[in-house]
Amino acid sequence: MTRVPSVDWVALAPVVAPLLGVVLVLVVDAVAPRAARLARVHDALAVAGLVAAGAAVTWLAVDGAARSTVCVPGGDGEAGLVLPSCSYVVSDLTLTLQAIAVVGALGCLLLAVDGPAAADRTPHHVLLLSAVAGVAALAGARDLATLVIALETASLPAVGLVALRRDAQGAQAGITLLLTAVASLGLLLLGVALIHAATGELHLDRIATALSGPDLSGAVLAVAGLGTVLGVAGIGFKLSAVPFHLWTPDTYAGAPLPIAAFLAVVSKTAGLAAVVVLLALGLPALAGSWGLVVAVLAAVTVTVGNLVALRQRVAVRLLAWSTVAQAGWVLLPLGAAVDAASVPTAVAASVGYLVAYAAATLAVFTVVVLLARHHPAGEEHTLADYRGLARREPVAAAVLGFGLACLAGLPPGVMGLVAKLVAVRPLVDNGVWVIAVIAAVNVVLGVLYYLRWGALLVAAPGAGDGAPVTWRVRPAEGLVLGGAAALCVAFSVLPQVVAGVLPGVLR
Amino acid sequence: MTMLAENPVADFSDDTIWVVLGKALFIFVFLVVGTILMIWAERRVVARMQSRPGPNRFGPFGLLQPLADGVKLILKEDITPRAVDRVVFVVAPIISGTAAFLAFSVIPFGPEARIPFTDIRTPLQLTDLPIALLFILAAAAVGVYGIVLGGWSSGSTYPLLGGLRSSAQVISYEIAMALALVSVFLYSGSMSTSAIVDAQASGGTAQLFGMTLDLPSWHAITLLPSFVIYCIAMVGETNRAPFDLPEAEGELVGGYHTEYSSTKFLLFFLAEYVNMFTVSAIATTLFLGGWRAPFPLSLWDGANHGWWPMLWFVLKVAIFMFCFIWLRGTLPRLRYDQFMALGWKWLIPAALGWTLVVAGLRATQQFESVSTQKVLIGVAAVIAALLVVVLFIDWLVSPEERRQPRQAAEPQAVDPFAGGYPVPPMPGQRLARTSGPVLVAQQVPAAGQDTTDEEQDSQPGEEARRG
Amino acid sequence: MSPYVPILVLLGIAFAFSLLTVGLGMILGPRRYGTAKMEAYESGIQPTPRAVGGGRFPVKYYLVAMLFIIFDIEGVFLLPFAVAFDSLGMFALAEMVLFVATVFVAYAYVWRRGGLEWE
Repeated sequence: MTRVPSVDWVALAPVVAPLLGVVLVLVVDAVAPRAARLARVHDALAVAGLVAAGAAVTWLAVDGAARSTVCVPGGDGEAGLVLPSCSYVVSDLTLTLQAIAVVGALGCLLLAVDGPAAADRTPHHVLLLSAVAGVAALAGARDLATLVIALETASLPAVGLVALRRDAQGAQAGITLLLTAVASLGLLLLGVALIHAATGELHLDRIATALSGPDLSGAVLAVAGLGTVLGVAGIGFKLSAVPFHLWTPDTYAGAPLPIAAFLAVVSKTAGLAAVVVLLALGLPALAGSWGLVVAVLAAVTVTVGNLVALRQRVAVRLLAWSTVAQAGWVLLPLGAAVDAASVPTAVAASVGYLVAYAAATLAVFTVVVLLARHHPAGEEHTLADYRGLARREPVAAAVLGFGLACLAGLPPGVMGLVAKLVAVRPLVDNGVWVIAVIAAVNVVLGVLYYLRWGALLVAAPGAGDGAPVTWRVRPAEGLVLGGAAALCVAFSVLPQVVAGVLPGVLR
Repeated sequence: MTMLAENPVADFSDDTIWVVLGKALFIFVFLVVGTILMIWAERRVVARMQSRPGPNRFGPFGLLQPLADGVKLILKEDITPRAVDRVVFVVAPIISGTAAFLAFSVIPFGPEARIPFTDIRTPLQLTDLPIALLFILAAAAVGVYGIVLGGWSSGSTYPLLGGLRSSAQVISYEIAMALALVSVFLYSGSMSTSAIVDAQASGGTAQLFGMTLDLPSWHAITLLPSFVIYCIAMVGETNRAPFDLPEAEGELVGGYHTEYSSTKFLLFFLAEYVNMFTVSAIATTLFLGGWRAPFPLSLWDGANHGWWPMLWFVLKVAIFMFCFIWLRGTLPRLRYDQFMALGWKWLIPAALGWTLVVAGLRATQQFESVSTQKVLIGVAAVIAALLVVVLFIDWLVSPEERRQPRQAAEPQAVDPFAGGYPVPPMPGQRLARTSGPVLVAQQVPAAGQDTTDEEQDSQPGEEARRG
Repeated sequence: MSPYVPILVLLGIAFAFSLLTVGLGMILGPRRYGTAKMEAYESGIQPTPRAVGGGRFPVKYYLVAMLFIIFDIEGVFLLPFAVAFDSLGMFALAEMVLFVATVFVAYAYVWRRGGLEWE
């Protein structure tokens, strides 16, 4: 009798809900292709899919029960009792990452709702929802195969989304992203295969057990270590960590702006989820080795991102480089891991930083989208075009300013400040002083360009500016603007949410 | 729950390397001789269908004609055009020629039999795997490489397009083919060829007027739609008429092997015929009971023992091969868009739907908790839900959008001789005039104005030239 | 003996035959030089240089290849499902109906969007 796995659909709801949305959108379009009248129906179905996923995440968080599904039974192995292992586990970590992805995707979807033409609406919604389902699955993935497939489901639709602009620049951005995605998939697969070869296990908890054994041969450790490095490199592409960042500026500039926001928020979440799941859950025993690799990677990423961002004039490109730097910040706490015991604090700090980063980035991108829509240069507009925005559009300028302050870590952006402190604390605690000093220098670098941008907002309008265009903010955009601002304010008032994100995140 | 054979039924444990070598040689010779006979038969049968005698000079009934052709091909010059990619150009026919034989290694020719003049008993089958059918699909897929690489490496337009067409065709029909196999696996519970033949040994029984009747056991009868889909797909898969578009000589000369000559061409030719044998043998094994004797013969106990089954197997394969010839002599070639539409819009959905039907039927037989009634209710509910969804969405589309007549584009008047030589009009274009190039300098008709009559009046010489 | 050994034996025979045939043609055939003979054949007109080194072809073939991969993966799931159907029970049937329905929705979408039209 072949063993039939049981499936807990409630646990999987955050993954299944967006996919149901995908199927419904496709059904509607298959019955009436390109019907302009149904554009709102497509939008409603896509939004409903995300809202349902959000509701499922909330319900699971409130319910609080430990759930897991698609398990293999344990038993008496050669080395004693083997616990049952599951491919998908609902934990605080899972739910936090899923919440970030769903909220971020909802924001990007609402921003994009009036963007793509009616003909492109179905592909846009379908790809976006598929990517969200991928991130949601990734957050709960607890075996290597699920991890890889979920990560690809999360990242490949982004290629299609970027190319939806349907011009030469969009095509170039799409191809760049595709080549990067394929190359990184190769590295990741190789790394995962080596880890599997070293341990003979697929489930992360079993790999962790296998690698923490007392008498491991050097060869096993070497193979696992090589696999870890390759895996980190593969995921580094998705996170756009230096030196795997080269696709970022071109892709952000070539993509429709809401999609750039999607890449910045949801794809980054996917990258971090993959890193955390692979390193913290599967390889905590090797923390001493990968901690150093990640620390160097993060330090270089932060520094390069900030230095190049300093020189950017085009708003989108500055944001692209700033996300590179922020990806370094997200990774930084993980670099402080020196042994298995220090991993949980590091992960909590990373996820906390990601929460703050996602909220602030969404706020900034919303204002950039709005300005691009009302500016003749469109997505190519420069920082100079923000001169005097505070007088023309005080609300948007306030949100942008606050978002920038949060990204920089300056008051009143308490959220960002706390996140940065939390990120550096594990480094200090574990005595990784060199990296901590580099981080401190980078705080200053970041403040420089965020502050310059913020200062432009309140500067007097320069001569030669035409008559200011009055912004017409659509309801969906207003919702995102308000929501993102509310999140930033809320996290700044209650920074302990970011600071202590869930100490038991690795329960 | 019946326990079905999941693994090969045939037992190969006693085979020595010599037996294996002998069987492999036999398969090879069988296929080469079969190809020679098939070429002869094809030419003779098509000739008869067209009221010609066909080749009748070499040997009795012209039987040696294909051999003479082969010798001629070997003695021909082996041309390697300048533009080809030399390595791939040689490798491609070798891939095709080698891969074609592979699939036959898991085809059962018969049950266990004694090799003449020895005491060795062995199954009349080279080998069998638990995944034999997957192996066959994989071997067929390798053959596509030969076609694509041959077309690509020729450095010429016709072979390139022919190779692409051919591979697109093979992969399109491979889907329908694989889906047709699913229902066979459902009923036999195995992918091993010997187990599938075994599963067709006996069907169920039915009580009619107090008599016990044996129901037919061949999958061709119990799974008729699968059989039909497979048969269509196998013709498409082998690029044979009426689906021989890759070598549509009116469009592409010879298709992917236009640039090939001498023995390299011979290998492609051989591979095509061996592939026909392969798909026919698969059809026989999966749907016609393999080597098992057909109905009236099966009443004789000895029919399924010893060497007799090989005769039944060869006869069944021969019937398929005759059908290939028959199709070629009867049907005209399809247009490429019609061909792709047939594969993608008819065969695939039909195969998918039928697979689900078979799975539902099988569930009613196998699982106590599933009754026919329940399945029917489920199917009805699904169809009703689909209808409701479709109607609802249709209702959502505004009436204006639905009833809006297609804006028929105003036919654009074109001058077919504008470029100096005649060009046929594109769809939606209207000929502005029909006379020859002499006119170009004299008169350019205004667009949308019908000038044909005037021209005929003003150009009497045109009529004379045409006549 | 592994059941794959006989396959290798047949592969060896077929490969040797192919090599021998190609070699025979190279040895036995005459060699006569001719300029026109060495050109790519295009029914007698000047060959288009485009086809050399791969050439360009309609992107439609790429779409066919993509669709093939989707359906081939469907086959990858369907074939083992069919073999193990009797022992998997109702769970497998329900899962497979869900799976096929999902693929079918995508298929209907591709069809309605014109992905299966060949001009």
